[in-house]
Amino acid sequence: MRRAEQITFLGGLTLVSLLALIDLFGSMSFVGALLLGVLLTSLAAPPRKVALVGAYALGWVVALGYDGRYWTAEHATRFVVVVGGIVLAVIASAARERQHRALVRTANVAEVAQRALLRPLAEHYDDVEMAVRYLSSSDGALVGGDAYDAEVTRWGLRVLIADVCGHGLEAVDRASTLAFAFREAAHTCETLAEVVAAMESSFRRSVNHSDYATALLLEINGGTVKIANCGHPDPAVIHQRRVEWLSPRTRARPIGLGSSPTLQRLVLAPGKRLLVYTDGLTEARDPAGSFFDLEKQALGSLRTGSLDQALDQLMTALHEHTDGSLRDDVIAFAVQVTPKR
Amino acid sequence: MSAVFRVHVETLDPRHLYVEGELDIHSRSKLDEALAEAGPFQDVTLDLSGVTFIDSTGLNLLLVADQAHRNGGSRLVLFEPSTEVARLIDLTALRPRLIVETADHRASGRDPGPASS
Repeated sequence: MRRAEQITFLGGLTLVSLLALIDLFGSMSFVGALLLGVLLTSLAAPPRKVALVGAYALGWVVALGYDGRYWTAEHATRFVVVVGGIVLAVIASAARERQHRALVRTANVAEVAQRALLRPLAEHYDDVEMAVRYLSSSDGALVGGDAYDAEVTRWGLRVLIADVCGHGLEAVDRASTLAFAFREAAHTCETLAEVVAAMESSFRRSVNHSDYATALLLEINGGTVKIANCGHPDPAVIHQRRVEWLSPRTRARPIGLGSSPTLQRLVLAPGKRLLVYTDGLTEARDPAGSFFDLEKQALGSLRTGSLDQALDQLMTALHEHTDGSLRDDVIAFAVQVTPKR
Repeated sequence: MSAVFRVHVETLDPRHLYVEGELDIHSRSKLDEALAEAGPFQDVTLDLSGVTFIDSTGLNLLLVADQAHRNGGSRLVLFEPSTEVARLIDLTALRPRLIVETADHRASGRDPGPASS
């Protein structure tokens, strides 16, 4: 915005000067055309600067119109046209600025509202380190049909990664219903199974019949992780040389369709990382239609560096794979346990 | 990347829809229309052997349609789901909730549908 303002302001001044000089030394009259410089300025500059260029142009109109003896009626007409043009250009610029300010306000409100759904994660909780990346498939939106949350509770750190059916903005209300239900239940329910049950009933109350959400819940206590998988893609443990997919012994339905998952237990040894994601990641396609190879990419990106660096690398790989166009929302959440000395 | 999507309607015996291509947010309206035409008051067989991709929107459509048929006193049979469809149905543990049939399973032993292999 600043840059466009500078360019149109200087461009306007230059154009006015150029046309005035052509008029001064050439045989044709360009007096009326001086208005072009003012209009150029009004494209992006504030009213104050438009008026400034207008005054400069008007000075030339007066100077060029006066040939030492008298003003003709023709000159007077041009003068009036240029003045009228300048006034309109200033008004247009003021209106544009007003709309721009309103847009910025709206964008700020939208951002704050979206942040209320997806709160930034704490990087540490005791010896647990975590990081998350979220991509919305809706252009210009921060949120979509995926949701995450992490709550420090008296039963340990509880984490939710969820994906409601549908994606982008049309799924935001369902995703927020789920996230808020988790936020509440995580602090009041003694077991993960109860958290899922509470989310199930809360979700069913507020969505259409047959709407559902796949979800993965974690409860992390030191190096021990309990996992409740509600119809969600299997999380992965990243070892030094291989990726281990954690399939539950029996699959559970997604939330909204009567989910009752059996818990999995995992000891997350230091140096190993747990990756939880939504299917937007594994189903991301390149322009030719092939899927993102998470196993290969995870080994390439996730083993080394800090968690943040690792996820950044994964997102860069994803971006390159999809050529920047996402069809579904994506969450990638990584956690590791580093015992304090 | 655009969805290749076709729906064939055979008017013989139960209505038989053959779905081919990608069943996701971009193509669901086509299947919606085809299902609406058949209506929820008669059994409909949905041949899913040619589905190359299905996402949560597609599965949601199947759930909604299944419920509509149950409410209408009829059955929506998901016939020969492709690997992709079967994978999602199993990941979400929804096989017992839906009516899924395969060619070997069918008492009538009828033709498994066009170009399923």
